[in-house]
Amino acid sequence: MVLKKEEPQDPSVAFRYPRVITYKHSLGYQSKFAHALKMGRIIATKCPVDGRCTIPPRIVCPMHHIRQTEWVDQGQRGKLLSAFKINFPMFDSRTGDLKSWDTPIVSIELEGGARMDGWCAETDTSKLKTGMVLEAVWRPEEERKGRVDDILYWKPV
Amino acid sequence: MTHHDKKSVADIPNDPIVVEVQGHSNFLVTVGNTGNKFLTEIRDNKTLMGIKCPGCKKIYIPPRTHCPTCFARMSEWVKLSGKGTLETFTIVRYAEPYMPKEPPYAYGVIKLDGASTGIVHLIGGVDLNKIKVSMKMEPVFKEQREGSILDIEYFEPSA
Repeated sequence: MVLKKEEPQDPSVAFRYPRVITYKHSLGYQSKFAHALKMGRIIATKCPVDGRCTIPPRIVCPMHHIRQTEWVDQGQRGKLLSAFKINFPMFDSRTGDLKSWDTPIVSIELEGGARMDGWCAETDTSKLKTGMVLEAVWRPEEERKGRVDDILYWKPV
Repeated sequence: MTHHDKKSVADIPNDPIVVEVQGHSNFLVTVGNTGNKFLTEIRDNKTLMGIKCPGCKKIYIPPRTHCPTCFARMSEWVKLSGKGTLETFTIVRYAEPYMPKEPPYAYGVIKLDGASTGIVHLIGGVDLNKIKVSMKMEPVFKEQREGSILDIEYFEPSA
């Protein structure tokens, strides 16, 4: 059905719908990963076939469909694979509000071979080069919650 | 890179973690042209407006842009008296977040005179135990109206 284009009216009636939804879920197999983050460590699952390490950890290798039981320490540093910056306000899922994002988002290949994303301390993207070494900067230990944002950002070494 | 020392992962606990997550949203929702007319008429003129289907001639309230029966585009507005008949009701006796008022209170479906459909709204001005299906009802408007369906405070039995 083709709708006729209508004359726009003044949409004077609009509502804000602030909502907070609280839910609980078990991290299951990924719990060990969360425990490691609380300890300031990054670990990944390793595929027994080709040795590929995955973050977030997965109980089954997505390539070989085989159970991954080995965990590998990934160190604190990694090589920059790519970086981008959002230059307009985006929704912050922790508040539901629009927020300006000053820090670039980086993809890193860790020393242990796994790849993960994070924020970068260097806000000038012209200074970011692929292959450069970045190091994790953590929240103080007492503030860590076992989430990936326990890593505050990655700073160039 | 030489920084990497292969630490043992054996000292990292394995016991399951249950996390509590809070999702936040704060959407700005516009009610569209049809909802805009409906709500501003309530706000400015204390008038309930229905909308008439050119195909099946049904009059809908709350109004919508398209007839859900024959899918015709609707644009003919019909002024309703606001009075109607209680078709069904329920009494809420427990509290949940985002409820419009403290329980106990009653919700009802009121079929307005001249309309083909019922409108869901709060029932007030009456002892909850004395609400009866087929009661004649009329809207009670708030003094301060802001363009919300809750500018109608509730429907009460007609005198």
